[in-house]
Amino acid sequence: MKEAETLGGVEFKWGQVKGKGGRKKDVQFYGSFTYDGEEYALYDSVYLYKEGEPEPLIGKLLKIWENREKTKKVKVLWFFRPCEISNYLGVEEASENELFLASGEGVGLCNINPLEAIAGKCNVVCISKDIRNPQPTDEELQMADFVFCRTFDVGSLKVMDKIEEIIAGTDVKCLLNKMDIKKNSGTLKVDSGRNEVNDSAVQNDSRVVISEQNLSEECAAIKTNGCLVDVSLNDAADLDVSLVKGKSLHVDEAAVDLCVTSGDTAETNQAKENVLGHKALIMSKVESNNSEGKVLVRLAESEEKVRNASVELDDRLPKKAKLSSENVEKSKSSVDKPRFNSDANDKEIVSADDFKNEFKTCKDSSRMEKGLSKKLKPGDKFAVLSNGKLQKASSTQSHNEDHKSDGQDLEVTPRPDAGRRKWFKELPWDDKMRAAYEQGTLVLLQNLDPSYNSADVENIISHAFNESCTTKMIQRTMFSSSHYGQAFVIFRRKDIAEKVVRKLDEGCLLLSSGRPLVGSIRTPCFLERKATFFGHLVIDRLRHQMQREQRDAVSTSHCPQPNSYEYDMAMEWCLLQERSDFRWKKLYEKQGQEFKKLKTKLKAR
Amino acid sequence: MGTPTKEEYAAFEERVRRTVYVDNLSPLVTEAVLRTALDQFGTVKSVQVIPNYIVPGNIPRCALVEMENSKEAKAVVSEITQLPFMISGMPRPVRARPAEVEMFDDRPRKPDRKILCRWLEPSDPDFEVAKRLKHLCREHSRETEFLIKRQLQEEEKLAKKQADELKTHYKKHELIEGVMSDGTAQRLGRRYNLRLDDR
Repeated sequence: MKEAETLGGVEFKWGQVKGKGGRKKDVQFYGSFTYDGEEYALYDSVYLYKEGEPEPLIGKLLKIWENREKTKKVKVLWFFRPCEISNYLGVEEASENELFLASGEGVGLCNINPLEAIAGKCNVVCISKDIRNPQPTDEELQMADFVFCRTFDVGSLKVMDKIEEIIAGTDVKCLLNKMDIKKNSGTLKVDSGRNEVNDSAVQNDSRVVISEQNLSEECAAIKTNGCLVDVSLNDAADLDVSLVKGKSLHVDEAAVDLCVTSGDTAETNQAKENVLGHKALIMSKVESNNSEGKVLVRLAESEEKVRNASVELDDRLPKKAKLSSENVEKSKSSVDKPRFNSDANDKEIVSADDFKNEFKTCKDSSRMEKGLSKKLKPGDKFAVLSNGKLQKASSTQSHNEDHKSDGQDLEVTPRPDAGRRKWFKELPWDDKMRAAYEQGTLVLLQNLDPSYNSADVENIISHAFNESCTTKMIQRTMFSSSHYGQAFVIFRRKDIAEKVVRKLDEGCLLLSSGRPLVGSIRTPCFLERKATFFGHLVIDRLRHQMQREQRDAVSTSHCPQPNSYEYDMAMEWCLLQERSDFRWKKLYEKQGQEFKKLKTKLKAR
Repeated sequence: MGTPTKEEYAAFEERVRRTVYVDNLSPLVTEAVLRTALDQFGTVKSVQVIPNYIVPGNIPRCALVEMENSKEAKAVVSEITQLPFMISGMPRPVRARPAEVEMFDDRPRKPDRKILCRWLEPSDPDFEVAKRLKHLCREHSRETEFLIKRQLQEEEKLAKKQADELKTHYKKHELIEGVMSDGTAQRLGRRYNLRLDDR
């Protein structure tokens, strides 16, 4: 049995062992590993969370190893999202879920990350018509989170239709679709599922659940108790029923590997691959944490922990089904309905309604605990699935609806970890804003707390709308009110920008300082080179001479003598300035009072 | 202190204290010009022009000038406020103020700050108040815009008036100069028995 360890409270185990490397042969390479209950193998596509990045990065695992210092590393070949390379994409259209595989040589091709940065598996299907690429089936396409058929050369910064023979020292065949195994992992995808409601649910839940601490304890409990029960299909079916009746279930995906009869991930992996042609292995692991302890009396303790159903099917399609449910601490009913079917072709879909209901419970409780954290995200996708919108839909809609309806306070927390991809120079804001304005993706937000910074605004938007955006807080000048902060926000698409403005107009998004956010689409003022300036005079006849002097002069500043015309005129300007300042002061005083007065009427604060 | 964010923020606040906000600058003023102009009061560490994206019309430019320390920054503000100081043109003086946190584009997140947001239900009693607050915000931004417009008009008026005055003065001086140079003044002086050389 291989050692199982925890990484920051998350279950981790190495899988297939490969050769050693490094100068002193002290680097151990691996072919697979299990992290967070998910099995990863070489060339899998994964999500990597980076702080400051509104959406997770996506890449392929090229190498997996552990250093002498026992730090686990992965080498990742990147995928680019269209928006990341939009400057180089030109007029070419890229569909919403298209990715571009990095190729060529240069920064941004691939890099080494700590293994812990991996946030989950991503189902990326290659749709290139290239003969080297096994063509995906329709089903696979529907299940794909992303597709790719083009590459982006990080050296020449060009989008290429052809896929090179070798990318980052790796034979491209490894990077295209895998022959069969793809199917296996495909079924696990969050967004992917047509019929995969169950499977998707598992993933969602596991992410949610695993972040909780009690997980590892439970895992430990599993091990020590050794309560691993293999059940036949029928048993499993029975079990399901009982589970459904149970009050609160806890599915622990991480327990998967522990529960496998052999207890060895690597073997599991291999086994799975081997079985492919012959038999399908369905493994279902349910950990039920039934506080009532009525339904399942298998274990001596009142807390029942593990169900392990390892079911073999004669069907050819390998499916991995898992039961799932949220472990809600205070919950009474958060019940998932697991379905197993020996007939893999005829899978049952859990009715949308059931899911919805359950889901609400899950969501509410999780929100109570942690507000909006990573937890909620999978949940949204879940909701989307359960609504029957089975394509990969942006989860925004449901997200918003939800918030609207429940009126809970959401804490805006910074997104997990930082480090935006900085390989490509960002365009200056001025150009970005101009482009965004022309495309209608520019929105002006008003009524922000003036002390927010741009990142704060980005976080607010991402929590309230689940949309990524680029923002710039307007810097205060003597012309701007000290009561209101304003920011320009660039969204990804025009319809998103319009939706946000509409939502802000119809609904009320109340920020913590008692400010409802105001959004509008406005024409920004662009920097004009030739702007005229009132107050600098030149005498016509001397104009040319003066301009020349000005151009050549290094320093053109001075204080005028008090006995000159210039001084008198300067005094006139000072007087005017004083008058305006006084007016501004009065106006802002008045506005501040009005604002305060109305704000006190808010009941919540 | 303690956490890095707090330290970062404290460092930032220190930077705010040694920075001067300068406005009423002509668009001709470049960073280099501004740097040279203020170098006479101390050591300029950096100059950042604040772009105007929001105020319609022709508002003067403004910039943040970071000095060596807060003492220098104070000196700049008091010098420029006491005497009319002109950069790249006259007679409109520039104005200097101590910088404020909100003027900085790259300000770090305030430490220990929680931001909450929530969608209000239409049935919530706060919903109406929030609607009115939104309305008030729009109203206020319109008021601000109006005042800016008004101010710009006044500035334009003053500029025009001064331009006319200057022209008149200039004409007067030219006339005097002409009279002096072509000998007319001398002749008249002799005629009326006046001494013209006041040297």
